[in-house]
Amino acid sequence: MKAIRMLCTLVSCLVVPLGMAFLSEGGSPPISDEAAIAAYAKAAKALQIEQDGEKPIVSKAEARTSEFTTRVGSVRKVRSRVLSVDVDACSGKIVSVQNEQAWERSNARAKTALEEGKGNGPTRTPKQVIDAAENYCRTLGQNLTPDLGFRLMGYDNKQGMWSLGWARYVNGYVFDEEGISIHIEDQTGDLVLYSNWVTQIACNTDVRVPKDKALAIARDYMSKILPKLVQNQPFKFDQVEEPELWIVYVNDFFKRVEARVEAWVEGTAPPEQLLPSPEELVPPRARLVYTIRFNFWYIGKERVNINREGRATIWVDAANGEIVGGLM
Amino acid sequence: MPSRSHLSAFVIHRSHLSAFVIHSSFVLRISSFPGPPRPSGTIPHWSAKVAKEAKAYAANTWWFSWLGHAAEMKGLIDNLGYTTLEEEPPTKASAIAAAPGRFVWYSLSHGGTDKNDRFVCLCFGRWDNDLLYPKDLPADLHYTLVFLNGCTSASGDGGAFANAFGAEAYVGWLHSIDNPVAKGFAVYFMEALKGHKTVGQAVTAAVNKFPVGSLAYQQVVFSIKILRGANVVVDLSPETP
Repeated sequence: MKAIRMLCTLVSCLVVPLGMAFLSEGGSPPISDEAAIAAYAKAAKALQIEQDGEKPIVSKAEARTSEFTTRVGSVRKVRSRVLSVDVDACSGKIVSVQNEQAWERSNARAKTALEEGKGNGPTRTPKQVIDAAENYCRTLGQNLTPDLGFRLMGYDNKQGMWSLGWARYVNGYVFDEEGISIHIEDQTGDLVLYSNWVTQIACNTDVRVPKDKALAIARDYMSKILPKLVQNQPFKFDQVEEPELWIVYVNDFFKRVEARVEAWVEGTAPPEQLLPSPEELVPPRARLVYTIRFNFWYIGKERVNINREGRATIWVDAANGEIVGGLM
Repeated sequence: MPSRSHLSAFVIHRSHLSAFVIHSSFVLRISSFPGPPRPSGTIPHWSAKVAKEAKAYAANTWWFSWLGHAAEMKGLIDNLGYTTLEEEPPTKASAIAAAPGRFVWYSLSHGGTDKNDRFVCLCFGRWDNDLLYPKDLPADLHYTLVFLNGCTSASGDGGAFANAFGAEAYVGWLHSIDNPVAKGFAVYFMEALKGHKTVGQAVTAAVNKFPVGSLAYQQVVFSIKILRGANVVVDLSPETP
């Protein structure tokens, strides 16, 4: 038995780093240092940044997570004093660029403007900014195809910077965790920050579960899981906001929460849970879900008049009614 | 609810290049509170920190969702030149005992609210039952940065916590916030403090790490608040050439 455990530990030690390294799009082996530096050079050229002989530092493959912390790939980070570029560890695609000089310059200019009580732009029209952003996208290897919908634009006069966002849409449904962000310095038009979460991951968009049924599934689940989460203290919960159909990465959030709560109650929280679970090592799966949001309140053991307010969003698969994750 | 002036920050369109108008700019709300009272004649905090070991604190109470978060934050704060005590989960007693003599405080926890949903305490302990109020903290604390990463921690008694910690800089949330967003923001924020960036710069950098227009981005932009100390520098690590 002990030998089997040791073997399992050994296998997990090998599988975890290898799994993370191979997780990205395509599942091919990680790109070489040279390929990562070539991507960095491409980004430097797109931003017209002189490299002045400094050799950038390349990291090992590191996990990349979505905004809701699903592990969606791995990157190799290439860093110099003037430019930081994250490169998809398998495909070599540029997924993030930060222009350190533009960031410093923008901060310094904003500080001066604040101290002198002066305005800080904007000096460009939105059309000019969008044109510049599209051009940066193209030169960094990402065309703004019709499935990428323009989502939001804003100007921050405290920073002298524009922010633009696109999201991926599949058959008209937004994929909130997949999109492109660009931040552009107003004075110079230089790119400050570029982030690209867009993949080619497929998603079925069939809706076979009616909204009412999805709501009933979510409410039923909330009434089952909440007593565990609040240790059977008095609680109440309300559904808030209309359910929406969104595409998400499956994150099995509540399955993990339940497992950890049970382990905690029994006093057997295993150290293995600190490691990524096997599910986290497979390529992410996308689903069209109803996002159903609840607020809940509980009083706690001390019986003092203090609320512990929480919020929970449950994702119900629109095709089969399965709970595939959520947020809390 | 976000303020009207804040809402006007956003121009949301789904059709590419449709006509739109730029409203007033969005800004992270930075209000200036008077700094904590300091006894006269004390050594400036900066000198004290560099002369001795600079201690910090990182705690995570939401153990069921993010095991290991305290350790992750400890690594990031240590990277700023501090020696950080991590607790996961902390109790009220352990947190109070750890409070004196430190310069950075980070905790991920529920924010306990009163009947009017005003933030009044932190919920520590195994089942969030150890309620920590500002009055529970020892006197004479002088923190450089306090980030109470929990729902509504910049509303209600957020200012009272800032005073109790003697905080030069205090960062919190105006509204409820989803756990992954709170966790992600904390990581981005601590990373962004590196390089002697100010708290205000690091908050902006952290906000910009979220996909513009996404649900998480909107939560962060509408809710993150620097109650005081936007110009404070937390990083103690040596200057890089």
